[in-house]
Amino acid sequence: MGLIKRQTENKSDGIEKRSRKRDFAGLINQLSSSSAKERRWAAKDLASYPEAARALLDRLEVEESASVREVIFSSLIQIKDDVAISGLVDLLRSEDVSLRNGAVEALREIGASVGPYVKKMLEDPDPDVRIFAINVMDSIDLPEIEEWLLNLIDREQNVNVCAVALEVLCNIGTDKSRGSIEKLKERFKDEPYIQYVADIALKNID
Amino acid sequence: MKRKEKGKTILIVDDALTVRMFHRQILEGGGYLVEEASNGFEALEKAIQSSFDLYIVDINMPLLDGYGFVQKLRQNDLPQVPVIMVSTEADAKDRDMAFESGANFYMVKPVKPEYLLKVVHILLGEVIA
Repeated sequence: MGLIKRQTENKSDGIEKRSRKRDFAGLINQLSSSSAKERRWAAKDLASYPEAARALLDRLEVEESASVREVIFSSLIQIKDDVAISGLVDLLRSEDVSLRNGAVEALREIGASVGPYVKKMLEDPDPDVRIFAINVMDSIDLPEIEEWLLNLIDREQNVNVCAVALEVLCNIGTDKSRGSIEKLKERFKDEPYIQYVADIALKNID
Repeated sequence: MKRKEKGKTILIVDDALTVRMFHRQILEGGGYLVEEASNGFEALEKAIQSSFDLYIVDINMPLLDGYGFVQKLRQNDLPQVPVIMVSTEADAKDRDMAFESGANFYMVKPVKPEYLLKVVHILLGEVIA
């Protein structure tokens, strides 16, 4: 008798319980469960529902478990629609370093389709946000990126934004970058790091 | 600037290759031995395997950021050597977070070579000739 009872309990605690909640509404509720394990499963299963992007992003802002956050990022990468990408781009403004870095990694993972969104971030008044946008561009294979970065460094006043743009141009810069890089060297002639990284970029173009 | 003691080893932790190269050039010019890591996890592995006299750690890095690395370094049974945290952010809040995580010094990028060497000398308790 004991064996039969145990089988019933296992079924109730396992397969039955979870299958009952795998509809969209159930998964959204489970995303706020007090159990990190349940939240993790819900986040994983919600990757199949594009309409879940907003709920996943909202959860990300309050989620304290690193493993649940990781799964939420993974689901947003799979969904990769306008809501998911816009939400991830907004997270570049987050004060939470791990959240911000997670967003950078997720946007890099999504790839070329984030280009137009990240380009807009180059206009952000916060230089740190401009830096994170460039960090994302570093991993995106889009031919327009060189031109976007050249337009940026031609007018950018923040030395660290220029430095990070130059770091990317070290890898993707072509002959058309030369003029802008040389002008930047002249503008920041008292900054040893700018001189150093600009010289590498110019050498790589040669 | 010349140092009296030689052979101390510094681990540079930064995801930007050119930053690591730049810092390496400065530190080797000052007579230090240099190793590199490109994220906090790699740095932690190196810290467990080898002995370093000082760490220069960027804040924004993938996988494990600078704050996380320094916290783990301080929580582990590892030699408690000085940490310089570097960042593009000059806000007092970022500075406070760096010290709270266990850093000994906070430096805003871009780093000036002479200044970096001076801070390294001081944190290592060296005599500057």
